[in-house]
Amino acid sequence: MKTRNVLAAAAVVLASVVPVRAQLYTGLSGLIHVPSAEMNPEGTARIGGYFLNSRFTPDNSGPYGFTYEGRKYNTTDYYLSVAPFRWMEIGYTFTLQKSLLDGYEKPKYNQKDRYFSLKLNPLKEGRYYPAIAVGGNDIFGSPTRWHNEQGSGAGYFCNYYIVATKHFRPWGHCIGVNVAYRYCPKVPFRKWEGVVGGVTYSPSFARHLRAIVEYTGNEINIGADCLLWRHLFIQAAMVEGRYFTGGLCFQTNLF
Amino acid sequence: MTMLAAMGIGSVCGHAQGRAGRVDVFMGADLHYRDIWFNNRVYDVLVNLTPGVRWNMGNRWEVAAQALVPVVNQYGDRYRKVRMNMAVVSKQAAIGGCWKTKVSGGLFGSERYGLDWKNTFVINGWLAFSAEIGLTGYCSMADGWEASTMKRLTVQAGPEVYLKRWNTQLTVRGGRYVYGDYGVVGEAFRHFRHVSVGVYAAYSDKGKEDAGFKVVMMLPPYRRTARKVNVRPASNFRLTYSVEAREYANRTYFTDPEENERTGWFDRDLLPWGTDTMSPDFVTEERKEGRK
Repeated sequence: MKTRNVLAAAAVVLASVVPVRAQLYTGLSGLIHVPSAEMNPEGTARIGGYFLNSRFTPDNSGPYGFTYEGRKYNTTDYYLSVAPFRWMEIGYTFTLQKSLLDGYEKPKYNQKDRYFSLKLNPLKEGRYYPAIAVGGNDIFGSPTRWHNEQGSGAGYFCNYYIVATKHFRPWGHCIGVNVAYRYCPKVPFRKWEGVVGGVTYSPSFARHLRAIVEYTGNEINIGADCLLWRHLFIQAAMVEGRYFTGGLCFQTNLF
Repeated sequence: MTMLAAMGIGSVCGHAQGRAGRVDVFMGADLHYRDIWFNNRVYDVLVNLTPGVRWNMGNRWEVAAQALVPVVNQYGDRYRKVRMNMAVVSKQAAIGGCWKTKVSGGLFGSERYGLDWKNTFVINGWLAFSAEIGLTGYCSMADGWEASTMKRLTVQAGPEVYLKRWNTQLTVRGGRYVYGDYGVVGEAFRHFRHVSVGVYAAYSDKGKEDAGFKVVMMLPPYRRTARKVNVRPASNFRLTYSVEAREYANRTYFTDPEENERTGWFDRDLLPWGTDTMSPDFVTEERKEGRK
């Protein structure tokens, strides 16, 4: 009886979800780490946070990066994002960094890396051709470096991409195929440079639940996401199939 | 690496001119946070309550005032006192069919006092020019009474473009700012039903480049009943995030405790242009006088 109730509750939850697409660590649409050419509906706004497994953060050897005493550490980020137009998404992300400051005994998450993300969609998906999008994360690097100030200006998440996405709908299921080329001018993100891509699958009985497999250029990730009760978006993933990463956000449409 | 950011809940401006003699009493909160890299905290937080009052004297004369009541303060002793933030008398007018003007005097935001003259020249349905001229001095009640003489001349002017099809507004204003720097600020705002989201870029000869984003959210209740004295919550949430957060570059002041980028400087029924032509955020229903 108890099991039946749990299944019934799960069915209600699945039935209440609506279409979703998010690369949730920046709040823009996408897969897990790999971008897609899908776009959020115009007016979509998100505020959320993401647990970044140490395998999910950029490499670096600088004092303000994502290593402490030579070891990478888990961290979190939080962001705001919005789709002001059908063809544009923009976001701003803060990622916490750990450091030990002079005069203190223990290290602490006391710094942040900050970056803008932007995605443009010049071509919508058609019957015989894919959607095309171009964009990037950390597109300006850290402005503080321009003024020779104390900011590291590392551009840890700096990358630019062009991506194509095509959906197929056999027997009511939805399969999305994403292929992107990612250019990473800064060393910390370079391990994810090159041809990347992934496949998404939404079953016909829970059309808006999405399973994801992606190749980031360095590892293979698997995960799933869904939007619950119209406003709560959840994503959970396993980096390299072994290490958890994931997050949630509040999502609404401003129209 | 130093980052400062501020966000505030003010209250609404750009309302249609109501009945003369009406008084609005409102309460909001003013939230500031900053990140100073050497103090081992991600953020320092300053939260002020912002009770305010607005008295419509008729013929578009108005008096507005606002106080700051600190409730959370990690900024230091300078910000711990209850103090007056704004006390302004203003007059708006339309001259001809294309010139909106507003003159204000008193204590403004950003610890300035003096005189301010705002103008918008409407060229057509999508193009207007705006100009703001101020003659102000420093005035603060944070740490006793501090003031300078009123001799800082500030001027900002530039075009505004409103694209009705996309409900988008582009603004560029350049000139001289509060701390004597010269610069230019460009903004692009996308307006939604009750929210406006914008990005901006700025340049100052002292502060150099900056950029950031702004969010203006009009807060419910959206339907109100007009009374002689209206007590209401703050009407908008306004957030400004500056990447560089330079306190002394491209600095301006507000002359109204409820001023924001969405509703602009003027009453929405004074030569409506731009966002004035959107459906109103607030609908005020006149109270039936005979009802007990």
